[in-house]
Amino acid sequence: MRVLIVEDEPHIAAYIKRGLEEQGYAVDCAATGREALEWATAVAFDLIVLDVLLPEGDGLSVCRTLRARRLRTPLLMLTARDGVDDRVAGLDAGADDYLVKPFALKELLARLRALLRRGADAPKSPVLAYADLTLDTATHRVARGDRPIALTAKEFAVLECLLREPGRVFTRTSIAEHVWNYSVFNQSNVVDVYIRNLRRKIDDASPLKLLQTVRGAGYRLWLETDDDLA
Amino acid sequence: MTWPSLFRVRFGLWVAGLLLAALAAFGTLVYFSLERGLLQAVDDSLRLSASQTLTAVEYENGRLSLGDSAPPETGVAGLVGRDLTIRVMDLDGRLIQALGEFKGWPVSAASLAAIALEQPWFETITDAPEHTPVRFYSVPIIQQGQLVGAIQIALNLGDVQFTLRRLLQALLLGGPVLVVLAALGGYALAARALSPIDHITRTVRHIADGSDLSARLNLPVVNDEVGRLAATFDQMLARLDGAFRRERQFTADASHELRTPLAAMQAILSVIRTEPRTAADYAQALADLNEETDRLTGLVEDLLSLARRDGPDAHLTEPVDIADLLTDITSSLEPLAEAKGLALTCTAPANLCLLGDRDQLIRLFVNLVDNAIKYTDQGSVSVAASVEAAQIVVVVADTGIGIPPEHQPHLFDRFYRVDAARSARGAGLGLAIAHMIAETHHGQITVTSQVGRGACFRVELPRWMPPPTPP
Repeated sequence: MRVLIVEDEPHIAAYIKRGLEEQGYAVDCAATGREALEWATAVAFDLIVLDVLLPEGDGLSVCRTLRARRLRTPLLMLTARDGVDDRVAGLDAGADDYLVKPFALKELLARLRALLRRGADAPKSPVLAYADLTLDTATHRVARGDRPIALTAKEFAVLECLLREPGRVFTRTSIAEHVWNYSVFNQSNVVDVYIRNLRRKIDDASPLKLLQTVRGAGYRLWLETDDDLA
Repeated sequence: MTWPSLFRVRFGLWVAGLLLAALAAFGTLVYFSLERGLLQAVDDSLRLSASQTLTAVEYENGRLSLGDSAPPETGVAGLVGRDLTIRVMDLDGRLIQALGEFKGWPVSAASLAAIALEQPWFETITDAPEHTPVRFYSVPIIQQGQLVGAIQIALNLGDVQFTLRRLLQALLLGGPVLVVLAALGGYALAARALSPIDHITRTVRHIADGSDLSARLNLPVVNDEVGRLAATFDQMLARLDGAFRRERQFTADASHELRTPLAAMQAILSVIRTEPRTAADYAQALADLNEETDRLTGLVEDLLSLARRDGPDAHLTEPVDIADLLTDITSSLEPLAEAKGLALTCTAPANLCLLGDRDQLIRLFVNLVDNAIKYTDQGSVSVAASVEAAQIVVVVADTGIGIPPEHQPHLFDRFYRVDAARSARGAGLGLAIAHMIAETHHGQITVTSQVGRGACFRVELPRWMPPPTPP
């Protein structure tokens, strides 16, 4: 999942970025309102974490501008202002959630997961599943049936991306966009490496192969028996 | 019952009571003066009739009689026709001749005694309680210097009594009606006069209950007592409202500023503690934490020094040489200026002193010079002291980005930032503290600036002349 953090406090931005990256998120940072708008229009983020008090356009106006541009990315507003009026102003500007500083990283992560479940087509359970493959977004446990599978953070992120919409064909670029931040995502053959590793961990020990290569297009999660039936 | 309606009732009763007392005094006066006047008139008429009658009295051979020489309309018969009773009697009170309604009434001993002394005598006699009283006038008859008898003229006092009774009735019946009307009128007047007060009370209660200081009385502008009260009250509310708003804003700003380093610290800690880290990671995290605690400490110190303004005055007893002070400050800030390639100059005449708190004065000028360096990218920062009248004037001028005019009036407000962001670190308390220190030193601080040309802060402080040293 690709997250944009808009925060002008360098320590807060750096450590949230690190905390999210350790959970497998791909994180980009913006420090001003103007940068935030540039990032958000250039890249399809899955989540935006937005501080209210920013140089060059405060968070509320950034949020309103994004919503006016019909950008529907789930957005969590982050601020040290805890008055009821402040929270109302944030939500009315188009934020989906509101977290008051100081906050625990655990709570931020849980709220971000909740925001990801909130879209119309999004799975409502923190556990994503396809066939006998399960992935728990909260605990990061992945299993094939009863057999637990250990994945690295990036492998987890690639699998989570595919599992959110089983059957949909993801191009290398769209997988990379959701899993890597700006500094690495242009190397799209990196995706192939992770897919190969994932296939080895998920499919090799099982008669049912799930990770399918769609030639010339990309990858998807698909039961090959479904093809036979079709 | 609420206070205002009680007051209305009391006011109505006061008016009624006052009117009652006035009516009682006036009624009594009218009643008795009328009674006296009417009795006087009766007595005058009796006296006149008596003198007429006396002319008709004849005394022949030791016998008294009422002659009838006078024409009937003026004579005794005429008198009797006017409801008078006329009696002629001897010295023992035996009636010799009597005419009129009360001719048979007994002769009083008092009248006989007065006649014996040759004195005329008035008396009022009532024979029975249910009858009207009768006024008798007794006059001695003296013939050739000798007392021979007396005449008595009597008149019924019924008319007088009737008039007086009517007056009393009018007073006793009309009085209470007037008093009740006055009470109601007083109540209504008080209610009318008090209705703005009621309005004020309701507004005040609304404010007290809901602490909504934006409410105003907004009574129509009338320059009477209540109008002035309402206007004064509205002015007071406006000031309170402003003070509360500033205080709320301050609290919100302060909590925001305190939370930000705390949030950074919590972010650092909660990320670092999720899993075991390398020693380098821990060292970096501790360094980051240290930065944030420094920031928090500075902020708390700034807030405390602003809060101390409400405390007792600083001890402004230490003579401070301004040249020493400014030279110290500029030389210690020189490295900052040098790092940005700025020229930092300081000019101050020697032997210029003021009484103050040296630490606070250092803080004042460090804040100003530090700000000047922070907001200047090229050119110079100059600090210059001079004397104007009894004031020491220190001007800190830079060639930096300047301050837009719309920000200048708020520059010394707590937490005020020209740019909304913390592009330059600091909570926006530095100038507020400088302002506070200048004020506690009985001085002032002002700013002039042109955007792009630089800013100029001018501090005026009272000069202190050391007592002349003995030669």
